[in-house]
Amino acid sequence: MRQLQQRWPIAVLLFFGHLPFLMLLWVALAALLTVITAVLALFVDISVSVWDHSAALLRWMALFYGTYLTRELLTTCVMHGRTRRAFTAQATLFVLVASGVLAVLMALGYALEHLIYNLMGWSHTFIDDRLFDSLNIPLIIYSWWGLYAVWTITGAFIGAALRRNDVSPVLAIVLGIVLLSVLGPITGMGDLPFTDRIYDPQTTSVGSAIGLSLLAFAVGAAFTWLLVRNIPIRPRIR
Amino acid sequence: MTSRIDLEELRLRYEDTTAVDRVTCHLEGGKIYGLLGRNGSGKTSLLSMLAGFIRPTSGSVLVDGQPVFENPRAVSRICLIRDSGDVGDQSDTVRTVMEIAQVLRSTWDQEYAERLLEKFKIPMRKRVSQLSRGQRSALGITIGLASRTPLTIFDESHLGMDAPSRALFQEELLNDFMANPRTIIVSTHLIEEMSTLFEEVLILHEGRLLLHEDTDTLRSRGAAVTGPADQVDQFVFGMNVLAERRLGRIKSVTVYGELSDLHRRQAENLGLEMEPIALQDLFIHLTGAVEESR
Amino acid sequence: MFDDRSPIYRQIAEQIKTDILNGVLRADEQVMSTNQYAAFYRINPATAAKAFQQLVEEKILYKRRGIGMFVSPTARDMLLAQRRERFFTDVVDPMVAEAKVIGIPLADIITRIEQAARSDEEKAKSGHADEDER
Repeated sequence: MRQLQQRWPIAVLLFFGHLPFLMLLWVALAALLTVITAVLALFVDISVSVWDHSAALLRWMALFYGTYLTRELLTTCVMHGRTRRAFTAQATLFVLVASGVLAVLMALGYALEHLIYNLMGWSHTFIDDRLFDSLNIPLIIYSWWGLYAVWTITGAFIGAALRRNDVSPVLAIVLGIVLLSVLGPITGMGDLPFTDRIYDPQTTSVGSAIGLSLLAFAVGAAFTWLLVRNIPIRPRIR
Repeated sequence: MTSRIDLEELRLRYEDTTAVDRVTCHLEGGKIYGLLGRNGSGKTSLLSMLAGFIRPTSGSVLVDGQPVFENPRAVSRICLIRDSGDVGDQSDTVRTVMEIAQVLRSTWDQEYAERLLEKFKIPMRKRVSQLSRGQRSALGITIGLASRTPLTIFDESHLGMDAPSRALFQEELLNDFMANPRTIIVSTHLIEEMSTLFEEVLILHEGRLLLHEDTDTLRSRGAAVTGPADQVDQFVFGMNVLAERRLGRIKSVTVYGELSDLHRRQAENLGLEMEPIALQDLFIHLTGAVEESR
Repeated sequence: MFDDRSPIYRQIAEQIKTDILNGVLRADEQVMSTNQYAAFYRINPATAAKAFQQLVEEKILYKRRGIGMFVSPTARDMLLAQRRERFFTDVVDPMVAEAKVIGIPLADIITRIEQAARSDEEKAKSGHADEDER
């Protein structure tokens, strides 16, 4: 542990400080959605997955967390004698791994929901176009993994632009939207309202979807590094 | 462990202004240095480059012979605490801020940090946003001291602290410096109050290094010469005159430079009064005079 | 404590000399260490060290390796001799010059000094008398 902390202090901070918090958020969300579903069931016939539909909310949280990384945590790391390079490397690794962990938890949510729906005799269908149309766990994990990773790294990119005063935040946000709207929907996840029907996930092969979301993540990470590598660390409050 | 600092032709330009203008200086380290300068003189910019917070436009920053910017070995040995007490997320508690410091700083001394927080009366449970300005400053000072970095820099870190807290800061700074020698730089406006701490003083003015001098030498440098205008003019001829004031036929002139016993006797013979001036006044004259001559 | 108008190390040295003259510090008594002194008066330890170094060079203090610094047995006598010497240049000469400017005859000054000395003696005597009564 001590050695790990000396080699990868930022990763240690993220994995031991942030990941449990993000997982707690998942627990809170699961509890909330269960209550919502139960209340809804009193009044209407449940026919679609509530869990799946909550994606709309979660991707924005991922984006917000991404901006937090470069707006706040980067400053703290540099302040405590760490380089921007070390931050970017370890934070990128964290985003990839943590997205995976949360995706697994999401899949667990689908499975639990599927079980409950079966018991209640409700049909477990998804409103939005997904790569998966039934309880296909590997595809669910992959889809959510891609969503969390790409949206968080895009958030990090926008956050870095906001933190600099020589880069237009509007331009960065537009670039971020382009990144999300061109590459996000291919996975069937995180489509923005106006890009809803550009791609039909049903016709996209799983292989190319995985390839494209990896590419999206790589582009997001590269953009972020471009802004972070010489970012001036100015006081946050005056 | 202490750090040696070498700045060579250091410059920082923003779009249309030069914040730091070709500063060259060498600090051998293991001392407490005072960095003085008026608002906007470039102190924070200079210190930010020294700590690797900002990349210089040109010139070099070497700490222990190593370039600083994005150099993991170099920056891990430097800690810069800025005036706003800019030490962590506003929403984090003091305890969390300490935990983060402990993870990120390999030289961190947690026990010392807790002792300091107790002395400054900062509760661990409070959020940074709930702290007063003075408490935030004290939190910054705690982090700077407990980091135990070979180069520790306080940039107006005592702003907003009341007199007893500032006295505590001075005391702790000195005690820790004596127990664990390191290189310390303190930038301040409170010259009279802080100058006894400094072994050497650097004065920055309009982005340039005006002087770098042993503090006690500087204290012996300035003098105010008062007497009949003609005699005063005769006496100060060829000297570095910082300021002049006239009241009828009496003239008072502030001079800067080495004043020997010969000077003193000469002044006496001319019937002039020669008085030493305080460091604070010397600073005012030095940084005011340059502006007038532009 | 110290002012910013002259080198602090000189002010420290002066203060220690005054302490020796007043008998606050006695012969062969240990003085505060550089660090204690620095911490007590909140001054840079290097500045304090410079003051002590100067006093060692002037033979006012002497060092005992590993223990600390002590007041020389001859320090007080040396300082008294120096101050007596300086008394005339620092106190008497300026007074005479000032008297000349404002036109006070030398004789008046002497009378005044004698008066002051006599009243001082009487005060001292009556002081003793008070103590005797108790």
